[in-house]
Amino acid sequence: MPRRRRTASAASAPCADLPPELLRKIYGRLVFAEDLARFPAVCRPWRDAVADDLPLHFPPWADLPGEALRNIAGRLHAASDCVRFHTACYKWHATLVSDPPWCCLLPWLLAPSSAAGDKAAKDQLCRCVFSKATYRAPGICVGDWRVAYADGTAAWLVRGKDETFLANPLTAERLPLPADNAWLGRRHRIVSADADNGDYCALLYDFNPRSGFQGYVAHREIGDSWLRVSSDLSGSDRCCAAACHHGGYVVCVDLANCHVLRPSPEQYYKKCCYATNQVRAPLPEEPAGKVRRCSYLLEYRGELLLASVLRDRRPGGRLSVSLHELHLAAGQNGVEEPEVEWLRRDQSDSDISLFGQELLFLGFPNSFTMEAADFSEEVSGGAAYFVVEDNSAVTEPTCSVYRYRFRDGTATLVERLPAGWHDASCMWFLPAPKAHAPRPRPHHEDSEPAAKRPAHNIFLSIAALLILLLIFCIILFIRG
Amino acid sequence: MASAGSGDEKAAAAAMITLISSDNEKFEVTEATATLSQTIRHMIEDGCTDGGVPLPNVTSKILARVIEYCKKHATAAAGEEGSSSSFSDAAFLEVDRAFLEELEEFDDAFLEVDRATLFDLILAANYLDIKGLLNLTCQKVADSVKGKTPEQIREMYNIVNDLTPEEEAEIRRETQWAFE
Repeated sequence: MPRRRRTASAASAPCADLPPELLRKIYGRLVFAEDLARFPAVCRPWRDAVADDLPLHFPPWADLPGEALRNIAGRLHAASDCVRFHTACYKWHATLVSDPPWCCLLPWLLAPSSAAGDKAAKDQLCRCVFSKATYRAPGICVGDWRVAYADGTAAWLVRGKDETFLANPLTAERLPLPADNAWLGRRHRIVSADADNGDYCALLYDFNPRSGFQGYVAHREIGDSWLRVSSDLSGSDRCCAAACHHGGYVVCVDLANCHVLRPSPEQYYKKCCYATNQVRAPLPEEPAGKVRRCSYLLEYRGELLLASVLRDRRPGGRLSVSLHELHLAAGQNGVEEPEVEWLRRDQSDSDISLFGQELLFLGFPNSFTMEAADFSEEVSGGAAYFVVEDNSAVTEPTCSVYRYRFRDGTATLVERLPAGWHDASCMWFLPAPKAHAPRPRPHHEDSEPAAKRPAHNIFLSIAALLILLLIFCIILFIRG
Repeated sequence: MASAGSGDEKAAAAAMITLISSDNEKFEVTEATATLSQTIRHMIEDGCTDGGVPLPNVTSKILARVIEYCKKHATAAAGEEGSSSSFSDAAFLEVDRAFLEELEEFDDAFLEVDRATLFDLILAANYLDIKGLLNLTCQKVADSVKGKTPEQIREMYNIVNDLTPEEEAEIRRETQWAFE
């Protein structure tokens, strides 16, 4: 037998003679439609092997039932994935827009406002550390127009010609909160709003070591007017976090103390108080061998929690997070200053179960909790996410995002942030995109892609015009 | 039903249901397996399962796979209920963990199917109202579209883009950030 023929048959025979089960298995692993179409065209044995599967291989994915579509979309936790999934075809878009699964999105990290002048940071405004994607939403700028909400969403302050209002940065939709020029006067703005009964509490403030804490508070009871709150925070040089508590109090924390500022009733009516009543109390003691790097305040089911990011004292020490609930006990006669108590919330067994489902996002000016149950397995509960500045670098300081698990007490690096994010006071916020419902389509249009018809019509009319022109020319020619 | 005298538990375990696929193939399954489907559970409660349950939307190929899933997960559910009394807490946790791992491995292997089978499994899980199976299959689709552009999703699932250019432009205008 000639050698050449033997090699040729040796090369072709094994593939064509593969057992049908194996061929079906290979076919089953193909992903793209074009590969599926080419496979049976290779040779007869291949075609025969998958003949039974052929009509099944192009299932009408566009016709997936709404329940399944929403189930899938609800499992996409990066906002961009969810939006892109929408855009595949008309049916998916219409189904998902009519009942959107936006509730399960993971938050974005917004660059600190100090990055405004930084060229490198200009294109790195929003970061999703879970999908490692960066966004530039048109409504979002690193200027000081951000407003943090206690529930994790965010608003942007928009200054129009005649008025100032709050808007959703992704949709430009107006938010139902009264806004006036006072909002522009302070850099840090936190709102806790209860949409159900229209309650809200807005805190606007600035802090620097020289002039201390200067802020305004407004809540529904006092209407559109602002109550001034000011304090030197007992000479503290830091204000890690501030929050409105139970409507009246403003709570500020630095690395060692907690300051409870309370406007008294007289000052309440005068609507200005230059010397706010204040109580100073030490923060819970740092555990042995650890030092507090930063303090955060967050609302959790009506309570105010203090989250402390700690680091072991030795160089390169491990990071950890502790949680305490702030308990304000009324003074003995009811008129005296409240007493501050701290209740540990991350240690006893019952509290671990409480936080087993929660995700904490620690940021500035606001921190918040979310239920991890919404995210299935992707992000499991009982963890805190926070940003830490790495000052050990000789060059520019860099920032990293860490996740701390309360269950086993470990902190792991999630991501080193891009250049330009050299300030750890970043804000987390939940993107709230919204797509508008497409115009309803009459049924007969469904069969023919609507996109092709206008072009088709134009083509027809141009042809008609040309024919008319031709007839006109012929008539002219005959007469001439 | 023959062993009705030997206690309720045994009777429930022995009760068999016949499921009939669209191509007229018959499958005998225990009631515990069948009731993982809410649709069939309601049929049993309404007492309309005599002579078999016809499932005109499910082929025998897919029904066999669905039953495979239900059998595994029904044993898991039964194991969870039954073991609490017979094991000490530590032993129970140990057994529990091993079982969950096994179940996870089963689920992973179960999902090793082509896109067409996956589609049929989703339809079947949706029609039969089997929560666990629907979640499992939808997660597989969700994982496959993560980080993909609409064009890639269309190509992957052979979907014709029937959005008009105006509609698509409008969506993109509203959510520009998602497409950069």
